[in-house]
Formats: sequence, C-alpha cells, structure tokens
Amino acid sequence: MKIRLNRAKTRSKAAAVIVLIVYFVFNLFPIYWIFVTSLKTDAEVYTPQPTFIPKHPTLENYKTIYTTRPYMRYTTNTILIAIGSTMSCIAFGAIAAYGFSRFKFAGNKGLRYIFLASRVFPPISLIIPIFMMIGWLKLYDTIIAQIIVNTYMWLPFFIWINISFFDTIPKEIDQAAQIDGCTRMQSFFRIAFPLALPGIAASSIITFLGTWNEFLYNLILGPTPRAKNLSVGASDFIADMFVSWNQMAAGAIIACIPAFIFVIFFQRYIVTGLTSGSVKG
Amino acid sequence: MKKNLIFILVAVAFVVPAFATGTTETPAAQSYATIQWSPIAERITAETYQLPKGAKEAIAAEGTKKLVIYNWGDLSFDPATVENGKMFTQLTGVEIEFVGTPDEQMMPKLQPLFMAKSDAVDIVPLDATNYRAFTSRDWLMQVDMLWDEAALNEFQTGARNLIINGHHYSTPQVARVTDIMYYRPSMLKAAGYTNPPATLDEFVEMTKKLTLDKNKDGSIDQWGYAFRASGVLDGAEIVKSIALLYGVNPDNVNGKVKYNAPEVVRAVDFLVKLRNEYKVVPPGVTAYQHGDVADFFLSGNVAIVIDPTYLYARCMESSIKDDFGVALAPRAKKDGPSTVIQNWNGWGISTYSKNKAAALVFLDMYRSYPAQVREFVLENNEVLLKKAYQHPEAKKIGYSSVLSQITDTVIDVYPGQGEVYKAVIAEFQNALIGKKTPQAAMDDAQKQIDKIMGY
Amino acid sequence: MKTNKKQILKDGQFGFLLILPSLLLLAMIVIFPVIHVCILSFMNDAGGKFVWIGFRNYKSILFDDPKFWAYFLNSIKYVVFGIGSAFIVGLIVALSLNTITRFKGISRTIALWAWAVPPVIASLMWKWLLNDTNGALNYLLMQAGILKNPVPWLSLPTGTMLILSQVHAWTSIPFIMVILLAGLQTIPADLYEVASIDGAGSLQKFKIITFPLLRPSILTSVMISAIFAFRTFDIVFTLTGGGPGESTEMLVTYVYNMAFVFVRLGYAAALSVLMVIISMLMVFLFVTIIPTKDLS
Repeated sequence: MKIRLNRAKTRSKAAAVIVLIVYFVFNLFPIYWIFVTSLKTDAEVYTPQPTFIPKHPTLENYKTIYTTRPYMRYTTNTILIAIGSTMSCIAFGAIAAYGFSRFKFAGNKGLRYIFLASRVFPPISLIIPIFMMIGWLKLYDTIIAQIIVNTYMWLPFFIWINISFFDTIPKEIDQAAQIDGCTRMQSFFRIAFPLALPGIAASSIITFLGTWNEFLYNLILGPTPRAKNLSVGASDFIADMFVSWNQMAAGAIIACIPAFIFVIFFQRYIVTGLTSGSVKG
Repeated sequence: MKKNLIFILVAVAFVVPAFATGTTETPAAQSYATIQWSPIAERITAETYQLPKGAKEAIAAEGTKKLVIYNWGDLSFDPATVENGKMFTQLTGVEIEFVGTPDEQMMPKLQPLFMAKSDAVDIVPLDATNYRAFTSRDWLMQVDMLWDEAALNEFQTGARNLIINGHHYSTPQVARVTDIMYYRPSMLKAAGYTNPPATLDEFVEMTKKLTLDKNKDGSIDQWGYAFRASGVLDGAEIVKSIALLYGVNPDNVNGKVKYNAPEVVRAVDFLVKLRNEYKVVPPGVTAYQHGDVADFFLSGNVAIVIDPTYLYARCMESSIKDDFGVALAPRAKKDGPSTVIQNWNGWGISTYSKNKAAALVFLDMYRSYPAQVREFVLENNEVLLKKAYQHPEAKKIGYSSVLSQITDTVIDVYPGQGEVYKAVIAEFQNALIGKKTPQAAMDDAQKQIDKIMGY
Repeated sequence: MKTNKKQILKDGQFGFLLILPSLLLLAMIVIFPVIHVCILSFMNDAGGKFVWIGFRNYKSILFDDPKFWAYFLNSIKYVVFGIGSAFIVGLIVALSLNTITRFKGISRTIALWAWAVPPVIASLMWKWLLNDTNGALNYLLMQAGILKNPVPWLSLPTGTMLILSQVHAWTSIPFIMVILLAGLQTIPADLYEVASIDGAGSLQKFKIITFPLLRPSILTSVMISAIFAFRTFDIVFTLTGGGPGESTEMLVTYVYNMAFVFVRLGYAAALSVLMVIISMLMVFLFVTIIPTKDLS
C-alpha cells in the first residue's frame, strides 16, 4: 500500500516539475528578452532579425544608468516606500482582519464591502483631489506621502484576503487560550497571528510588489528624484521621440532585484502544517 | 457609541477639506512689470543674449532662487535644452530644475498641479495637444509684453498661429519639420535605383521593387516603406501630410476642419493601397507610433521612411551611418507643392507661478538667436527664428539642403485638435484594416469632427 | 465563558476597536476625493469653466453615447479572457509549486518574476515582442514552422483584444498564484492522506478536497484580479492606443482620454463613477456565484 502511495506521489511530483519547467520557459521568455537586451550594444539592438544571444555582450548599460541617472536614489526610495507601506498594512490590516473575522458588531459585513469599495475607484479619477490633499499637508514630493497613499491602495485588499485566512482558524483555539488566561490581544498575537501567517505572508508579498510597481501615484505625487520610484524611473529612458531599449532593459533588471530578495525572504512563511493538527489538540 | 463614532467619522472627513481654503495667495508681486523689454527684435537677434533692463532687479524682488521647468522627454536626450538652461543660470543666477516627462505623462502630471492652483511648476512645455486646453482654462500667463510686430517678423509666419484672441501665451522652443525622406542607398542600388523617388508615382514603383523576401523563406523581411498610423498625433499627421501634397490642409479648409474633403480621402486611399493593394508596408502599421518606424529603419527592416528631422542624428550615431541618405519627401507630381507640417513646441508660464519675472526672462532668452541656434545645431530641431538658419554651423547640417527645397510649412493649433486627431486616427485605422472604405471612414470621422468643432 | 482578566470592552466593541485605525485611515484619505469626483461628475467644463448640470453627464453617457457601451463590452472581454486564463494557469502553477519538495523557495520566487518588472517596461517590451516587423514572437513561431508569415498581433481586425487580454494575464498570474498557494497551505495534509487510503485518485482528491476548501482564495484572487483588470490602463494604451480603429478601446482608456486629451473633467468624473458602480456589481456577482460557506 505504501509503495503504491509513494509511486503516486513521485508521479505527481514529476508532473509538477514538468509543468513548472514549461511554465517558466513560456512565461519567463519576455524576461529573458529584457535581460538579453540589457546586455546589447546600441548597434545590436537594431538588427533586422531579433538575436537571442548577444554577440558582443556588454555591461555598459548598467554602468550608464547608474552614472547618468539617480538610479541609486530611485532604488532606495522604492525600497523605503515598499517596506513602509507593507509594514503599515500589516500593522493596521492584521488586527482589522482579525476583528472582522472574529467579532460580531453592527456593520461588520457592510464595512467589509465599504472598505473594498474605497479601492474600486480608478486611480486616474482620484489623483487630482488626492494631489490637493497631499499639497495641503505639505507632503508633496515626499516619501511619507507615497507610503500613505500606497497603504491606502493595498490595505483594503490586505484586510479582505486575511479575513478568509483568519476564518479558517477555528474559534475554539482562541477561546482555549483565553481560558488559559490570555487577554484577547494576547491570544491574537500568540495564537491567531502565527496561524494566519500564510495569509499574512502572501498579502505582504502582494502589498510589497504592488507598491514596488506603483506608477500613477508616484508619477503625480513624486515627480523628482526625491520620491521617484523605479517604476516611474523606467520612463527616464523614454526620450521625446524614441526609446532607449537597452538602457531601459538594464533598468528593468535592476528594478527586479530587491523585489526578489523580499519575496525569497517572505515566501517561506507560506507553509502548511501550521493549522493542520491544531484542531485535534 | 455607534452614533458617536459616526459623528467622529464625518468630522474627520471634513477636517481635511477644511484646509480647502488653500494657501492664501499673496498678490502676485507685479515686479515683472518693471522689466523693459523693448527693443525686442534687436535683443533677440543679437549674437549674444543680454538681459533686458530691470530684469535682475525684478528677479531679486521676487526672491527667485529656482525655476521648475517641465520638459518633453528626458533631459539626457536634450543637450540643447540643458545648455540653454546653463546659459540662463549664468546670466541670472537662478537655478533651473528640469523635470523630464514622456508625452503621455505630461498631462496627468500637470493637470493636478493646475487644478490645485499649485506653485510647484513655473514653466510648462506646450504643443498642439495641450496649448488650447491650458489657455482656455486660464492656466497660462499672458506674455504680450514679450512680443511686438518687429519681433514677430523675425520668426516664420507659423509663429502667428500661436496668438489666441489677440494675445500671446508662449514663446517658441522648436518647430520640427516632420517629413523628410530617409533611404538606404545600398537597398536602392540592389533594386536598380541610384536616386530616391521624386514623385508619388515613382515612390510606389520603387517601394514595390524594394519589398523583398531576401532569404526566400516565404515571408518578407525587407519592406519598401513604413508609416505610423497610431499614437496621439502620428496617424492624423500622415494623412495630413499626404493631403498637403495634393494641395489641401485638412485642418484648414476655408477656415474649417474637414477631413472628408476629396483630396484628404484621396490621401487616405493612397495609404490604404500601400498596405492592402501594393503591400509595400508591414500590416502592423496601425500600431506604429513615436520611434517605431525609425527603429525599423535603423534595424534595416525598411528601405525608405518619412520621419521628422531628429532621426538624422540617430542615423549618424548608428551602424548605418555610412549607408543612409536624406531627400525631400516625394511630391504628388513634378512641381507639385512640398508643404510640410511643422510640429511646434513652446514654453508657457503657469498663472500660479511665483517666479514670473525669472520665467519671462527664460521665455525671452529661449527664443533668442544663441538659444535657437543651439536647438538647431545640437539637436537638429528646426526653429522658427529665421536668423538661426544663417549661422555657419547651421549650414553644415547634413540635411540643410533638403530644408531649403521645402516650399511651405504649416503650423495648426486649434481647440479640440486632440479630439479631432483621435477621431481621424481611429477611422483611418478602420480604413487600413479594410473595415470601411476610405470615403466612409472619413465621412464618419467628419461627423464626429462636426460635433467636436460645433459646426 | 469565564475569563480571568476583567474585560472593559464587550466582544463586539473590542472587534470594532480593532478595525477603527484602518477605518479612520481610509476615511481620511478617501472621503474627500470621492466627494470631489462625485461633485465633478455633475459638472460640465467643456468650455473651460465649470458649470453645474446635474445628471446630464450620466444621461449622455448611458443614452447618447454608443462609445460607452462598445468600450464597456471591450472591457468585459478583456477581464473575462484575461482573468480566465490567468486563473487556470495560476491554479495549475500553484498546485505544482505545492507538490514539489525541492527548490521550493527559488521556484516560487521565479514564478513571481513577471510581477517584479515595472509595468511601463513590461508593456513596452511586449509591444516590441509582438511586433510584426522584427518582433521575437513572430520570429520564433516562424522558426518553429508554426507560422509562415509574421502575424500583426496588434493590428488584427477582431483578435487584438484577445491578445491584449493575454498580455494582461501574464501580469496577473503571479498575483493569483500567490493567493492560491497560501490558500493551499491551509488545507490540512491529513485530509489527503485519508483520501489516498480510501483509494481516491488525484483528480478526485482535487474535486472533493482541494477545490471546495480553496473557494475563499479563489474568490478573493479572481475578484480582486478582475477589479484590477477592469482598471488596467497601460497595457492597452502602450500596445495599441485603443486601435485598430476603436476595437481595443476600454472604459478606462475612455476616462483617460476624456480627462487628459480632451480635458473634459466632468464627463470623465461621471465615467469614473459609473466604472465604480460596475465594479461593485462585479463584486456582488462574484460573491454570490462563489459561495464560501463554512466547510468543516
């Protein structure tokens, strides 16, 4: 019996690996293209047929973007904004999701939808009034403004996603903890939050990457290198009449790296086993 | 408890807008009014630019340390603008912070600033897509003091099109000529030609021979020609430029905008045939815009393109620098008109700027001889100041002989232009993909244009 | 329920207190802009000055403007085809990532790579790749013998919308995959063990265990992606600008053009409000179609 189960497991693992390889090849091809373009000289970018392996690969583009543009500044800005927004979302959103999930109060269901609705306005139509508000607070062209706006952008989704994760944790566990003497806040921090980590981690990654890529609000509220992020900074390579492809590609690759590091670090919290078995205990 | 909270919420919601009185605007220090601009024509055509009398004092009175100037596209591709900026700082001691912005982002960036009456921008770049919108909302300062009749005469006639209801709101930065022909001599030679086409008939004949499947794999890898039928301006401009060769300016047919005039329909028909009947352009033209066609030329995918003059510098810096030529765009017939469109870019001053004296000096300086020569020589951007073409450096530019053959240029800037062009581009694309006949497409476009223009 | 510590607040009040900071934060940021947009939607500024016209913008849009309905249909196509394929691929990839035992971390990170590319660059690069003159996609398909002539993917009379939706799917897959992956983690592994012992095959396990328990994550990921897709602007704008003709114009590009090209802010505001209403209808649609009853 065990052998049959093991063989089935191996077969499904093999199938999974094949699926992943196929997916990576097709899905990551554009990224390969970007990477290859970033290594090309100007002359090689403009060839009649596309080339997939640069004949004279060069790191010149990477050097250029750091020396001619404040790319280091864009990078640090983006990291600060992304981390700041993610931290605020976790701080505000985790307890809010817990509150929505666990406690009955008038308007619980209604407010969930209102939170979601606040995010449904197309950003384009809100930029003028938000710009005005940021101006009154004298926060134009600052990183704080970016953090505030990005927190607003991602908090409703953060909460919405985590409500369903908290829902999967049986209420009995909380109550057991409270019988043992914990306050409600303590039972949140010690029991519920750790058990909901997969959801928290997933929504943190989403918030981080979403903020990392945020374009419109950064464009309007952070027009100079003081608060400009990598996503908007990518358009530095768009001249009035043409695009500098290889430099832009180098910019894209650089823009991915810190995001990568964050994801590698956080994704390890998306693990199973934290809830299974806890019910029986 | 609930009721209290609702009250708190509502109060909070209005606390923020309570700041809505906005920053109390100090009455604009009218110190710029003390600057003596006359004699304008002399000053702006002098070999070196000198500040008008009273300028330094006015700038000091306004306490200006820095000007914020938005620019089309990133500054690293605009050496002339950077140099002119340095000249300004040298003369006035005022720093300049340029904010380079791609076309599509300019409006979204500037509109909130204007709507909020913000002083965060002093000078904005203008072109046909935003000029009328800005002026109709009083977002630009009137700069009548910078102009008089003598000064206007120093510029090409197109400059007068920028006067709105008798008032000036800008000074010209550049006015790129949009249509000169670039070709690959090696490709022409291989097809048996030594000279580029001079008429549209020759053009059709040659591009047919220049569209080849060189490696015999069943698909075409060299196209005779390619044009841009997408974008915000590009698609409408190609129609307009061919119509101009037939003698009609669709933006000004007896004072009205008329894109279904017979010659305009003929222009559309010509372009549609290039794609669908002669098959000398790639089918994907409906999506090409901006630098797409230039990129193809540089890559060797296309034998002939008709593009603005900026491409010349790009060619000289590329791998085809020894294998490209320029010529006048083909005329409809021998000795037909060779009218071309000039794409005007100008500078305007925000009504809400607190640095109007310095801004006025910048506008004045930028249209002066040394600054305009730099635009022409360093960036190959045509300018409206006539004297700039007499500079010795100007004569050395590779395509100056082509420019001298152009009989006439047009600059059209009118309200609703953006909407008109959008309608024309959409219907032009419908004709290109065969969804409508050229006549039907342009008739539909004209229906929308009539609504937009209020005819 | 006896508790040792005295509780000052009742359970319900405590819960409300937990959501209060978020509520205040969102209220401060959102209420003024929403009111601003709503007020603007009742105004007309075609001539440069703002004039109150009541519901006339809405009437024009809904009854006098065939473009609105045509673009609305295009938006729906974009969302349905885009999120549809993104969901299928995202689900398969999430299941696969859940199954492998080695290189988990790096595989998951690589799978998210598409999302780390700045959207501006991604759109421009896709434009280049889909190009019919020197684009890599046509080149590869011709080399592989699948195509004889390059296809102008962005100039098809009817198929371009589909192409655009797939470009969008490419950007959405990571998002959906992450949520589904996290959702898969909450399914206790013992359930699968028990099912295997009972002789269930992979497909049955999926149908009976995985899919039902994954419903909340599916609802969340698909609904939020759909909301995003409805509002995504740069892909369409960069790749086709709404063309050829108007076949890829969507509501969100219509808002953009109204606000920034034609500068008719009142009309644009009314369009935005309608877009919000449509989005909320989508939310209600999803929530009723994908019920997430308590499944224990």
